[in-house]
Amino acid sequence: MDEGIRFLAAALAVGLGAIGTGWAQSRIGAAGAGAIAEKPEVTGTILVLLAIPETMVILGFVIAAVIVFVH
Amino acid sequence: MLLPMRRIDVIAPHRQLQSVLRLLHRVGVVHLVPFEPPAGPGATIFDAYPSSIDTSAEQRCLDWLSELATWLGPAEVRPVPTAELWALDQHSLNERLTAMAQVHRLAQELATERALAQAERSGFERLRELAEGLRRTMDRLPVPPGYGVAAVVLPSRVRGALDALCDEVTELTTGRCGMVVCDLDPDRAAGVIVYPTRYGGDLQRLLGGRQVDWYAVPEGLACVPFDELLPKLTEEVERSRARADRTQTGLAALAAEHASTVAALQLVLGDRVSEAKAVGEAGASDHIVVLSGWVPAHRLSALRSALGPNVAVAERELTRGELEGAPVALENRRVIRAFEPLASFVSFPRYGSLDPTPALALTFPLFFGLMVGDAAYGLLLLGLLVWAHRRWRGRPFMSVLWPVGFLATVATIGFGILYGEWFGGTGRAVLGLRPLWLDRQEAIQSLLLLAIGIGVLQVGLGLALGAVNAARLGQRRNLVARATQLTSLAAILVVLGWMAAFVAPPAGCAALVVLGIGLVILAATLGLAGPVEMLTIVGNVLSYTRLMAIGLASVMLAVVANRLGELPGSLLLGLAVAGSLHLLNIVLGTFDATVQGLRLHYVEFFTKFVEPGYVRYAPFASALDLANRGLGLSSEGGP
Repeated sequence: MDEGIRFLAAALAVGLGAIGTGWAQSRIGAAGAGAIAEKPEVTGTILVLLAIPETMVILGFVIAAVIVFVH
Repeated sequence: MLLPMRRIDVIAPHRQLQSVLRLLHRVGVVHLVPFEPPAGPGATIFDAYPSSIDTSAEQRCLDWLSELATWLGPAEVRPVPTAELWALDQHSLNERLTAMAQVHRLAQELATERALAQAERSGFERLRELAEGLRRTMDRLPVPPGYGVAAVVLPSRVRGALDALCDEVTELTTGRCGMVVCDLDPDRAAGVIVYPTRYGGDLQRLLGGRQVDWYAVPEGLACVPFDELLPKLTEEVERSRARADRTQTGLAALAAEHASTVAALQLVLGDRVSEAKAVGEAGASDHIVVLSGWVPAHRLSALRSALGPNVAVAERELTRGELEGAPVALENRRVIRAFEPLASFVSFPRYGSLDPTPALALTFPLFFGLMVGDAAYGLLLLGLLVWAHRRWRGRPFMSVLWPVGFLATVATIGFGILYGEWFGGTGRAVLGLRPLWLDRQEAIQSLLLLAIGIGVLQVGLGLALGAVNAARLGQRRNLVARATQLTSLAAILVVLGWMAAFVAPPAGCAALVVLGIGLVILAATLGLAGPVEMLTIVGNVLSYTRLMAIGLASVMLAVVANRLGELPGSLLLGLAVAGSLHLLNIVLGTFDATVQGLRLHYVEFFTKFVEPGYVRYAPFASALDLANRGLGLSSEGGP
């Protein structure tokens, strides 16, 4: 039972982080595409902004790894 | 490396302004800026250059040439005609332009003919498509002499509008018309109207006011029976195509003879306009003119000797604040130079700060290899890269892709050998490969710690470089902040080690105290954002776990590919399934490793020390010089 709950918690840590990242990237991507269409020189900045929310799912992954591997 | 720059004033007699500008243009090393008189009593004797040169005629010529170049298509810029034209005086250059008038007229005629033929072909093709769709319907619709045929095409969802249209046409022609409605395809419906030709104009006005696609059979084909219409339309399409091809051939012949000269004329005329515009940047007193600019320090003596003894080049002594406005030029060794576009993609370093390119050149290929980490994938990518290098040799993008890709794929092969991976676990099963360092499928915790360790090293290096940058730029507050952040990061590591029982309690307690003091200093130097930024730095370090996460995803997909490949009984089918998935894995892995590898540098590493720049070094250089550089030739007479 405990083992199952641990895996569930790890899955939630990654899954919720991924949902948050996906939602944030969808908003940034849509706005960024519009910005690039008007000013192509901001492509680099938009790319960085688009990559920033990925930290959420990475942190979720780290938490999941701690849950699974650290007893 | 950022090149050291010198602020110079080129001083010459009034009458020599044009020739000095021509020389500067030819030498191509000075980044011109508007003249500002030096502070002091002498400032009052200088003013802007009193006259400007009208370039409207040259601009018109450039537009005229641009039109001609569009008709002729893209051309290779050859330095020989550029050099020949560049040496001409204005009168001779005008003669060359006049000689192009005949080519311009001929090209215009051919381009117009081509456009007409293409439009005609497009019209016939649309009609043919419609006629094919209507073939069954039209078999039921007789077209008597004196009657014309028109068709209206609408989206199927508004098919009902065709009935209303039929009523209107019936009313217009007082009942002397026929209309058949049919479906062209699932999305489009058509109404074919047969009407007395004398109502053609009225019908055109009626349909023209509606937002419908309507087609009228051309006059020459109006009386052709429908069963003969389709072959006739096919003939017309072929005839228009042949006409368009003939004109295209004529244009191609014209382009082969004149396109490179036109391209060279555009460049040279553009140079003349640039020189005329540069006059507006000059300053002048009663007797002398002064052109100001920046030049790389190592080219200053060459510039002096190129300008000769009658032109003075005075170097200005600048304060640190004035130096901040200097344009930035990067200069690195050949392999590292390939990484310059990647390093400056997001922001260009400020003058006087550190160049991030060497750091990127060192770590980006390693990160790529660490993430993809499969010897077979690396060899496949290397093969693809070699093919691309041969296929597009000499193209500008290959000067970046080849060195960057080569290093990244070699790192992939190297890490693949260390991980013992050849198409995932296939190497172990078939070739007996064993991991020399880590088994990525098993050593998940070790890889996680390795990724975080890399994060600590790179973020720590970024903070140390940030401190160096702050010292070089004289930013004391920033220097204190970066040094404190670096110390606090080390303290956090020690505290974590204490919690994991790797570090003795006294050291852990001391680190805790250091961390507390660090947070106070950060709050004092950066305000409330200081301690918060410390949290961001910890987040930056953890962000490097993506190195391990993406690598793990890649190896697991390879394992899945192999397992699925084993499921079908047939060897061929198994190879196809496994091969497709491995191909997908290579594509995903390459894309992910590139984007994430760059992102780690841009967001986590560069933000710690790259000071965004303001101006890129853009020397006042002639088209001839640029054409020579593009072909790898040295500029004759240049430094």
